[in-house]
Amino acid sequence: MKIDNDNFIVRKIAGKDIIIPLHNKIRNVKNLFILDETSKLILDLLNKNKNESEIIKELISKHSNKYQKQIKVGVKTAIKEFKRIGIII
Amino acid sequence: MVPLDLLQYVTNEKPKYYVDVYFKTFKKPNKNMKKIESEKKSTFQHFRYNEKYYYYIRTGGTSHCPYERLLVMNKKKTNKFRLYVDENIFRKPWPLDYPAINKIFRTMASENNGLLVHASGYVLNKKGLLFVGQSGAGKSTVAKLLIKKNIKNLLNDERIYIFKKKDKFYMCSTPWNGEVVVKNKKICPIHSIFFLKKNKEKFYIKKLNKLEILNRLLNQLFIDYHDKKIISCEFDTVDKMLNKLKFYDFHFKREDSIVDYLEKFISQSNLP
Repeated sequence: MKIDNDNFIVRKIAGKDIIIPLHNKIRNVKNLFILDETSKLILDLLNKNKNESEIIKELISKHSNKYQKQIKVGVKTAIKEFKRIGIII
Repeated sequence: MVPLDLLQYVTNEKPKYYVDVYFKTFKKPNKNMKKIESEKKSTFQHFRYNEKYYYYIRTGGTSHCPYERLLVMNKKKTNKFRLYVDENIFRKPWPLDYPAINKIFRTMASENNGLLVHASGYVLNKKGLLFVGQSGAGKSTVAKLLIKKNIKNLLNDERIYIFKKKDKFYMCSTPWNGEVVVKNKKICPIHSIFFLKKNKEKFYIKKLNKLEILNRLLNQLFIDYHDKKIISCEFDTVDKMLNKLKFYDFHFKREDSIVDYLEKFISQSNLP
């Protein structure tokens, strides 16, 4: 799992950090990925070559064990979305 | 050599862009080149190779006799284009025929804090109104209704060039028109942008939030989604537009009273 930095840019638009995938015509915002605080952190960690389990571990250490389940689901969903819009190869 | 400038179309500014046109046989893109974009109908294919972009165009959009062209753009010197036109053609076309001129115009627009938008533009009481919509949304219908007031105030009913100068957004015409043929050279500050929707019963204007605007706008902008530098410029302009301009959903019925309705609306809005 690797971030393809040639395939997207992140831009602040309408006050939100948005991933804009390159090479595809963007018909509407469904083709964009709006980053919240957590998904931005996940993207940063992926950029540091961390894998899924390392990201989950790091997020749990930052927050609390109490949210372990939500963090796991959140990371999996974010990675799935990043794959869908083609920024993870 | 064909000199081009965005505002050359509407002003007498010295051109900054040039296209060298060669009528000769050229090498077609090969498998070493990375294909980065291709249209469904294969009108053109887009490749990248050694710091250069190649647009391989397989037909002339408005020509009855298809021909091949290759538009070459250097990533570092974007003010100069080379265009090779197949010499073995029956009749020499205008070399910059669609889609070559569109591609060049889009590149020039994005580098000048500008954007091409699918819209009709009209100047009502010295205020620039932009009516955005896909084909069939009513751009030409609105234009035809508005020109009954004054045909000289219609900029274009198909594509408008939007650009930013000194913190203000302006609009002007482009070489592409729809059903109404007008050669208007006016440049006008943008007052409001309306997303069109036909309505059989009433006129209705609704304010939109930024994400709704972005959603509607993206579909109607002519954006190149291949070059980081260009796309960054384009989205910076989009962001500035979202912060600076007023956007509305405009439901309209096909009636002459559209002029009165819009006049009333702009006189009531608090914009300068």
